[in-house]
Amino acid sequence: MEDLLRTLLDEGSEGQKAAMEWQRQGKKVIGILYPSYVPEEIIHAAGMLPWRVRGTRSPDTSHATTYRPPTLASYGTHIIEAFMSGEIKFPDGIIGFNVDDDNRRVYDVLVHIDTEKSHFHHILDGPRNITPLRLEEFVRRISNFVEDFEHFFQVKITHSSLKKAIRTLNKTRSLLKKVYEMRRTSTILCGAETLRVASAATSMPKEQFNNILGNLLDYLPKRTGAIPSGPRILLISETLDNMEYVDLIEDSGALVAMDALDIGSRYCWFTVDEKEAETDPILALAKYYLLKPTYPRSFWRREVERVLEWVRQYNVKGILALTDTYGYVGLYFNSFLKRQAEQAGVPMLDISREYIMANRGQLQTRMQAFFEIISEGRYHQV
Amino acid sequence: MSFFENHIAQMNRRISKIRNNPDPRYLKSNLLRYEIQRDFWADEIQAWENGEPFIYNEGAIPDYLAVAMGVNVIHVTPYADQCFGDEVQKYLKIGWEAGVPDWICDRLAVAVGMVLSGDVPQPKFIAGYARSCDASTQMLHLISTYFDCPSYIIETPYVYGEDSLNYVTKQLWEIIDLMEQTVPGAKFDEDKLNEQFQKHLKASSILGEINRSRRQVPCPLTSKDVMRIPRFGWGDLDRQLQYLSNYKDEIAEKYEMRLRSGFKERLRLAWLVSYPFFYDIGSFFEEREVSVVLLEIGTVGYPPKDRGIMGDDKEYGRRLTPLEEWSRNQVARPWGGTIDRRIDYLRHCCKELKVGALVHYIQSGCPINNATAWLLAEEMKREFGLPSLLLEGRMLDKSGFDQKDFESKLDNFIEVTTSTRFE
Repeated sequence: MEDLLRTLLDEGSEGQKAAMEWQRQGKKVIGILYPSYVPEEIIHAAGMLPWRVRGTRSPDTSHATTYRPPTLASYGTHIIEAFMSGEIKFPDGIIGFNVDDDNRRVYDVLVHIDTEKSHFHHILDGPRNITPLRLEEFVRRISNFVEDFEHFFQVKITHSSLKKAIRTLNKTRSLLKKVYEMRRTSTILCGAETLRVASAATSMPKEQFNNILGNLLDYLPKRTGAIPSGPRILLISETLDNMEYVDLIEDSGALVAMDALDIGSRYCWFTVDEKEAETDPILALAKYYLLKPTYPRSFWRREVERVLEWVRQYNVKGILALTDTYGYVGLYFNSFLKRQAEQAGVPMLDISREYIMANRGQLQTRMQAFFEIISEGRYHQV
Repeated sequence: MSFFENHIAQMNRRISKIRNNPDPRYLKSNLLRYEIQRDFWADEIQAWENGEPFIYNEGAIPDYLAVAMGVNVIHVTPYADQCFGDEVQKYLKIGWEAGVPDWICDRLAVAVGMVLSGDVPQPKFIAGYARSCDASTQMLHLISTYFDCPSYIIETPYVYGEDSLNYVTKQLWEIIDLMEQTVPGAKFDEDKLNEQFQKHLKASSILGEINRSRRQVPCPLTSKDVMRIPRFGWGDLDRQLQYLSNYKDEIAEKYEMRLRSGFKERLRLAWLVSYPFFYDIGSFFEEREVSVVLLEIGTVGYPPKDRGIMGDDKEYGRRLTPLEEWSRNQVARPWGGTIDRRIDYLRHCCKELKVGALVHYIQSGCPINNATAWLLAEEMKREFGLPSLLLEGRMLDKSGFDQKDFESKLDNFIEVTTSTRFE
């Protein structure tokens, strides 16, 4: 069982092995830029692997800086570098979502440098509000996406295959949600392990992932392992997929009891309505992707309420935000979250970071000071 | 002193200068322009004192709709763009403390500071767009957390066409409904809408003529004129139409004089994104006989090819309603969607305006532009052999500005470009 868990933990950290194996079998891999509202179900229904694109962990971004000044989110720079340096080969397609301007432009640069004509490129844009008009428009855009995808790859995505994909991905979400629910009252996995497992779901074939995690669910409560005993914190970030940060938090004495990350809770918190999907799978997908916890490009008040609800449910003592130094959406949003958290009596610390681990010592010092203060109940504005 | 009082004082200073000691380098029609602006600010003060409702509009609805609804408008970032001197520093401080990241586009921080300072009225409604600058959409989210009023973000799809036009127009109708329900006294008046729209159409026609004249070699507009092409819509429209007519005639007159004086044009430049508003860049170029033929983000930029032209009935095969005209404008914007739109737009401008070189202003904290400036420069070089200078700076915050360095980079670029003769 530990070997099975290790499979997920390794895939969650590294994120390429499963995709490479998939390609070796002659099957197609479709890269998705995160944070994402791209309906993976569509890709899955076409028999292809939806694969979350990751950036290089190398500090050298000399290729990418031909296109990007240093004052842009390092996430985008490291993704472009990963492709330009040859560390990652371009998959059979790249799909973006207009979560913010920087992300949109990362997509533009990738399309510019990926000159292979057999590769599919598409960017989706999603509503900033949920009204009947917006939902209708989002359904139309998803439908257009399906048509473009079918036409390009000469495949047919039937309602039946889409419904089956919905059920499969819902299973992924439900299994992960069970892990999260177990962590409410027991420490079956530390935060770093939980997020590695969740991250694995974004790059592995879903059936394989479901099979492994399904088998692990009975084992996990019996598992003994070192779980940090320090204050329970909620980690929030956008575009954070570098597990070294989570390791650092837990090495510094806190437990990541809960998260608001795109590769974590936001990925699995809700499921697609399968009953609705029976009659209209595209509508069901549109509703799911609009209602699920999201990168805060919009729906600020909803997302703040959700975070504070998680604080209560998970007995969290403080919120730690690790925001990309030039990730403007997170920075804007966190200023509001901090005001609301303080009103609710919840301590919050917001620290800027790079995509790769940098200034480790400084980060650790600040984190440890915060954890000490909240442990001792001495919180004042940090 | 309120924002309006400060800017009335500024306009009065300019008016006094023109009356007492007119500078021949500047247009005579500026006098009317400043008077209209001053009177507009005075009307805003009056409306505020009368307790009339204000809405915050960040490019979501056209001026003619706001008038047709009977509401007063604070144009968030366009008002911020008017700020100068100590006012900028004051609003920056407030904006940064309120949650605007300090590296992001300074006009957004100034805008937030301005609205939170109490120097402008509080809103009954906030309307914004999600189209070409998401950082400004986030700014509006931030602003709305400080005011207890409804807000609405209009979205513009990435594709051209009737579906997109209809989607944007339907959202305008939703905004109208929502404003009628929530803004005291707001009521849609279709006759007023049509009346106002006709004036905007006339203005668009005059500005279109002025814009098309830029194709001529040498350019009839000076660099200074291009950097300051007038905005239409704030204040008395009839006076503004008179001003535009005077402006157009004066430009033509000035051009004749320049030609007679043997003016030579060393270089035709496209200036992209924005520029430091506190620096007289127009005069800099004029002294060097360089014509800025395109300011990409002017108040009235050069129109895209076959799109977004007010009054045109070919684009959609029919005449559009006033609300559809606004939607058409939104859908056509080059900064919306993916970068190929902007590449197409620049391709069109470079050809039509016979551009010889480009300056990309790397406005600090502008991801929409900075994340593809190098790609654009590469494309323009590849396709037209045009050289680009990528120049960093801010729009409103003068504090880090090194004038000598700025000018020296531009001078070097002009020298290299004009001596090498890129074909």
